[in-house]
Amino acid sequence: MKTSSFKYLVSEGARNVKANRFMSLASVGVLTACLLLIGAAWLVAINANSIVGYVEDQNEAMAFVEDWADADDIQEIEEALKQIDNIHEVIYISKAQALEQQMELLEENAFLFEEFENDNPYPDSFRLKIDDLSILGETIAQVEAVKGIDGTSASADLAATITDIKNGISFAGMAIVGLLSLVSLVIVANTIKITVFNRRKEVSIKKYVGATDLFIRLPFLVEGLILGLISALVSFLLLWGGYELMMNWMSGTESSWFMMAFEHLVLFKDVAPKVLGAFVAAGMGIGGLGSMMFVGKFLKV
Amino acid sequence: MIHFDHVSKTYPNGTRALDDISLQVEKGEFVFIVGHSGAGKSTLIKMLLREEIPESGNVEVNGYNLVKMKRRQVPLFRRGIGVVFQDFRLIPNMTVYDNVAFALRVTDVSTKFIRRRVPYILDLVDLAGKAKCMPQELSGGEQQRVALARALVNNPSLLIADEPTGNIDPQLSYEIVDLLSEINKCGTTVLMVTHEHDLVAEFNKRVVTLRDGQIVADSAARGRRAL
Ligand SMILES: Nc1ncnc2c1ncn2[C@@H]1O[C@H](COP(=O)(O)OP(=O)(O)OP(=O)(O)O)[C@@H](O)[C@H]1O
Ligand SMILES: [Mg+2]
Repeated sequence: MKTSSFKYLVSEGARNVKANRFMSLASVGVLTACLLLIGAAWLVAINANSIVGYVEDQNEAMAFVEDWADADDIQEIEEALKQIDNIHEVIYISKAQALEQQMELLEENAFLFEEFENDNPYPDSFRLKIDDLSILGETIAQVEAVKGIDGTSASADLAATITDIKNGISFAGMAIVGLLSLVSLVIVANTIKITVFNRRKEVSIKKYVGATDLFIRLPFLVEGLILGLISALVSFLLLWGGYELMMNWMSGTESSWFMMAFEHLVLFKDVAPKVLGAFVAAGMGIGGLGSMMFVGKFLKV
Repeated sequence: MIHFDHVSKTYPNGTRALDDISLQVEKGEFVFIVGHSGAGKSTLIKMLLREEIPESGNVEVNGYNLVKMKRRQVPLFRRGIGVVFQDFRLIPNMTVYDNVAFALRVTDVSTKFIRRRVPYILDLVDLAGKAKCMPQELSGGEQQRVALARALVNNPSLLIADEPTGNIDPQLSYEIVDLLSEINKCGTTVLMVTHEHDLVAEFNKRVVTLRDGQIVADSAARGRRAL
């Protein structure tokens, strides 16, 4: 094929987008709606994950030091604890600090503890921030194996619950996105089928005149790619706008729960390249492949 | 130019549309195909365009054996043949100019040639002023002349017309056949299917009559051998 023919066929594809305005609009509408739904479901899922992740970050365990440990020992223990992979922060709390904290909590009744100041019953301890709660059991075992650690306190139940929630959200998110993709594919395929069906006459006329299959397919391919690209850009902008609106609304609410959640929402600009890339790939892929597939059906004249 | 050798065709629903047809058309001839509705005229045309393949017998057109032909050879074969149908078959979202130019574009000729050739052909069918119109802005007769221009633009050696005058008034019909006749005089073989006996009577040409899928009469132009 000569380059002038190629140029003609590409411009034909672009011209057809305009010439068949109504069907172009319908196709872009359907594809945009599908991409928006999938994108929104995905955003909800990653945000839910981010909030749960924050809750998980708050998770701490306490490790108590044996009485005999002196300052050097404590230094060593701290080093040992920092070596454990799943712990991302180790905070030392001395006997004195522990007592002080307790007295602060008691406020006016703090005098009850005054006599302890000379005979402090609290042990030295470490506050440990845990990364991955799903392997908390193993981490605690590692902590307790450190020489000089007397015992730990950690809520394995809470850990298990949070892990379950996180897995649940990931799974549900994936399932919903998958299901929506499947439904979208069926709807979009049917839309393209109707579009091409409406133009089967055009295809058969071209065949009578002696056009090769490639000559007929190429404009349809270009048309599909353009419609896919337009859908991707429109749905990206709509999703962005919608997300910012929601963020605005949330930042204005009084509810403290919302405030907490709000601070841990994903910012759109952080995921924008990913969303745009996925939309463009999906839109152009579906548009291009779909139109090629259905034109093939009418090429047998 | 056209050789049908004991060609039969039965549609999947059991209709026997062509029954042992043998027909020769030489280069430069003008042939009318007539017959009642359902006689198999359009099926014969479909055979010529390789839209249908016979279940038995052999078809040769313009030097190509259509039975042995591979699918990918079909476009090249069709470029050597001009076709006109009763329903015009213009591409609705293309201008008159682009409809005609399309037949050239599929052949990979230069853009320069297209720019010279299309206006020339449009002028030939008296449509020079309508190049930028869309097909639906034209009358039936004008649309048929666009279709004719498209069929001729490649300078085909064979022109096939399936009831080209079926949708236009008698005066225009006469003009179309007159035009076909002129084209024929320049050496193009013409095969035209029609219902209109008046037209056939008006032009002194060979007439092949079909009935129930068989050739029942084949009369050469008056003054020469009649079968
Ligand atoms: N695609 C098809 N499938 C089944 N039967 C068909 C098909 N096309 C035509 N036929 C049948 O084959 C026979 C011949 O049809 P054909 O179209 O060749 O007739 P025709 O001579 O062109 O008629 P008309 O003058 O009405 O156009 C008819 O009985 C018709 O019903
Ligand atoms: Mg017919």
